[in-house]
Amino acid sequence: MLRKIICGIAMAGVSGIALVGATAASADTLRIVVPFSPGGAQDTLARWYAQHLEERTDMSVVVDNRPGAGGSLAADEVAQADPDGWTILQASGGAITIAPHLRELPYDPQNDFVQIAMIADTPMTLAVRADSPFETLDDVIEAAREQPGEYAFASTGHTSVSHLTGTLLAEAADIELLHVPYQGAAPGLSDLLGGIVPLMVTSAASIDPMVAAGEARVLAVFSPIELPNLEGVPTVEEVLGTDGLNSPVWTGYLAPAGTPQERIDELSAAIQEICELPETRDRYMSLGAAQTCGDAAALAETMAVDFERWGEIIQAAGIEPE
Amino acid sequence: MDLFSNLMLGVDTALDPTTLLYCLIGVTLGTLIGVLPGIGALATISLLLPITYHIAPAPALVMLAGVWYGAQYGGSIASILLNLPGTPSSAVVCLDGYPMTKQGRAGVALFVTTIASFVGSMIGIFILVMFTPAIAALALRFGPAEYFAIMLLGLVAASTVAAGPPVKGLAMVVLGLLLGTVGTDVGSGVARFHFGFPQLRDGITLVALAMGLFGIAEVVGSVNRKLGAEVRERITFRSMLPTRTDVRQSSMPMLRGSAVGSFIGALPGAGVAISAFMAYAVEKRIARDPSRFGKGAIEGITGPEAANNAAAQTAFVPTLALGIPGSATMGLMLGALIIHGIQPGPLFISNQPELFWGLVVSFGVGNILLVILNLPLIGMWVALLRVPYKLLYPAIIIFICIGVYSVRNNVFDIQLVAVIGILGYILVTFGFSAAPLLLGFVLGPLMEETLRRTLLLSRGDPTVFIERPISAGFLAVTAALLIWSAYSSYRMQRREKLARESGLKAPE
Amino acid sequence: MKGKDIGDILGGALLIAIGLFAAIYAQRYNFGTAAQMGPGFFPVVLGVILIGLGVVIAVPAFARIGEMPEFRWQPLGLVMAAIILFSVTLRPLGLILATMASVFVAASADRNFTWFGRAVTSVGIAVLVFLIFRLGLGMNLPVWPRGF
Repeated sequence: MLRKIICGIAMAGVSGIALVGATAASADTLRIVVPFSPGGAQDTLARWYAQHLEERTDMSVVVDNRPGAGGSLAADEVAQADPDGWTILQASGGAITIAPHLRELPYDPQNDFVQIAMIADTPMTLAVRADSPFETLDDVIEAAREQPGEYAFASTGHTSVSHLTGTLLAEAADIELLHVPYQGAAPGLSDLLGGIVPLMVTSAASIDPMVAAGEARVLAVFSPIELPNLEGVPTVEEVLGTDGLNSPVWTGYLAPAGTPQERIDELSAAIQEICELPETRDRYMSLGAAQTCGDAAALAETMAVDFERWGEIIQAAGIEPE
Repeated sequence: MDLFSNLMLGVDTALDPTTLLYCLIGVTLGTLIGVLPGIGALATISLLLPITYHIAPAPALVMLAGVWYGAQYGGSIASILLNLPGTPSSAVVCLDGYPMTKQGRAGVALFVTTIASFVGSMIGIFILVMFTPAIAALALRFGPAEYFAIMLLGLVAASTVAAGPPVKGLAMVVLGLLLGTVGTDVGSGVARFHFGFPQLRDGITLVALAMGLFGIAEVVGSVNRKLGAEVRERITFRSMLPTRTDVRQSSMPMLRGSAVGSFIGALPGAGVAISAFMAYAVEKRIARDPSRFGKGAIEGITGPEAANNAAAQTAFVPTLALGIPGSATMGLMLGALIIHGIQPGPLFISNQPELFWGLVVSFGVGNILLVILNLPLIGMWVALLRVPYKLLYPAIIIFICIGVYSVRNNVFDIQLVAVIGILGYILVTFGFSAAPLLLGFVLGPLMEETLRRTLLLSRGDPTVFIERPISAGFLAVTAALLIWSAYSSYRMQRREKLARESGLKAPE
Repeated sequence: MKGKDIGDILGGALLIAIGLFAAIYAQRYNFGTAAQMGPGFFPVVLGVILIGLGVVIAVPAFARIGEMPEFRWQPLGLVMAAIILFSVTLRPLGLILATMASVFVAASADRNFTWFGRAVTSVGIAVLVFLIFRLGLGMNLPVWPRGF
């Protein structure tokens, strides 16, 4: 008797689940694959677009966080997804324009994706502690010329955008800096503020609150950004007087190659519309991002330039592929 | 008076009915996911993060924080009852908590860990209230040399964590260090021991390791042996109360554990698990009779339990005072602020006093709620032991799989649990203990990274370790500890020899 | 070998094998110098230490009497099979079916189960898991096979 009752309850449970499961799966759901854990700037961006896409279209949108292997797990996931327009990748440099120069990847960043739209630039900055003797980027260059290799810069990881951007600066200014990699921005900032490393190349987002508190200063930015705390900070391009040094840290949406063009256009239009909203601008301010909106062609152009630039830097700096 | 007005401000925020409700939800959920093996605060908070979009920042943060420290309470429950750590940081509690269950003292163990958790948290909160700016400034002075020195101290102090022959414990620490080298090397960007699996580039996840070593090995060893219902423990309120000896033996360890935990917790990057191990090592070191450890010594659960709860509170010091999160979970807390357009950073406390003080007061409230919640539930948890093991273990296996999956949404990690489980089972069967392996794994990457960074910055000159006072201090303590252990083992041998010569049996 | 402490001999041998493997495999990574230790430094040093400790554990065991510990291969195998089964079926078949299949295999490790008992347990745990992780915690897990 008891068995029958248990059995009955279980069956009822299963059929209940079947109902819930069926309703959840039947709706059209756009899946945005994000190569980072929840909580960071990239995830916050994805959720911003997810929320607004849901409001503006009749799709339901889920954010699928697939962190790991520098973003290449997420990229691979999307490269292999059905090109039906219901799975897209929120991409940024690392896995798409840097990783192919360093190692074999299970996907082809050039041919496995099509661009949808560009949504943001989260620029890199060169930062020092508030009481640093360096007042300008020129001071750093001068000091580094006198004592090559003496000054160290912290980066957020080996062959991260931060590392390569620092190397780009050293190459362009023809100076030698000691590279000290950290795992992410937090431990690097801790050592920058603690006076262990004199320089750090890190995102505007991560340094902004430290500047606001008077703990750190930014000597230069690597692409233009509008943030109250960084007003009047020159770009590296301006200081060195050479063109082509702007290196935006782009974020954009990609779809698997073969996705129908109409679907791409539809998504692209919706995403660009959200990107250009005034409230998006405010949101970006708090994330340390610049509202760099663009269509598929603009994203393709940015990616191509990025791909070439990092290839050259990796070669020039003698960073060996695996 | 300033402090008083700040606290009153906090009380206003924290006792707001909505905030209070979210606090209760947070701590309840925290306890629950703490009990479930595998799924932890990190995964749960990332699941909750999108929901906090729709809540005001104060209740949102209060709830997420509640999950975090609530999980510390819950984590030890499965450790004690099933020898299965609910969270990696409560793995240490298995060592003496599970033997207590086998002795029919599960109720007492759960009771004292609840109290220890409460004491640890309260001391951690006290330190958070009183010394946040000072500790934050101190934490910034910890460069790579200091971190290396303190990790070395931790390793030496904790190499005694294992029961059984010290050489086996040491071998497990080294194996743990070695497993810690799997994944991308921070210094050079080279991925080590990845065998072509891209998922291994980020290393072995701590949860997968802890679950494979403790959970799977335990399940395999217990199937067909443990029937459940074998420990007929009477569940009365009286049977849960610790004896006078228990109270005497655990009050000082709680205070020491809280001190250790508060200190380690405040260092960004060190983490809660390390503090629990260190507290255990301290207790075992200073115990008059270290041989009781591993056999149900009550200090072996109260010290670490107080430590990991204190650390869970002081972990907020660098996170909130500097805007530098010490762990992935703390990063998520900052993410919750960013979602609401609030910039975390050194100005957070002065710009958002109601939020900071409200949060701090809510920690106090949350911990009181946790005690109220947990004490009556002890009976229910102990009753779990009556569930036949054959129904329990398949569920445990699935929970572990889903929990491990939840960390990175990656099925590869589940397969990793299977591989680690085989290794763990073989090692345990050969008489090695898993706890020191876990410790080596937690400490290893940090030690390697900081050692290499120190020498990189000093251009290879090792004297920096002695030139920097904090690092020199820790190294001196480490050296003293080594000498003292060598001396005491020499004295022990001599005493045994004398005892044997005089024809008496050596004391156990 | 009979009568020797085979457990410790094999345990030590296992450590020696792991240490050897690590030290040799890590040769492919740059060892580096004191100022710039390479990625190979730690693994090689740790591998060598592990070999040493393995020797220290195994050698004295030859002079000692002990017993070979009992290995429980059957439950180990079934539990591993259950975990692997779950990992490969979760994405394609969804949470419910993966759980049921996996529990069914895991439950075979226990001698006291009847077929019926196993079936009921697997359904029960599947329901429990769905309630906790999908409904309760709202985890982003596929519940049913794709396209269902």
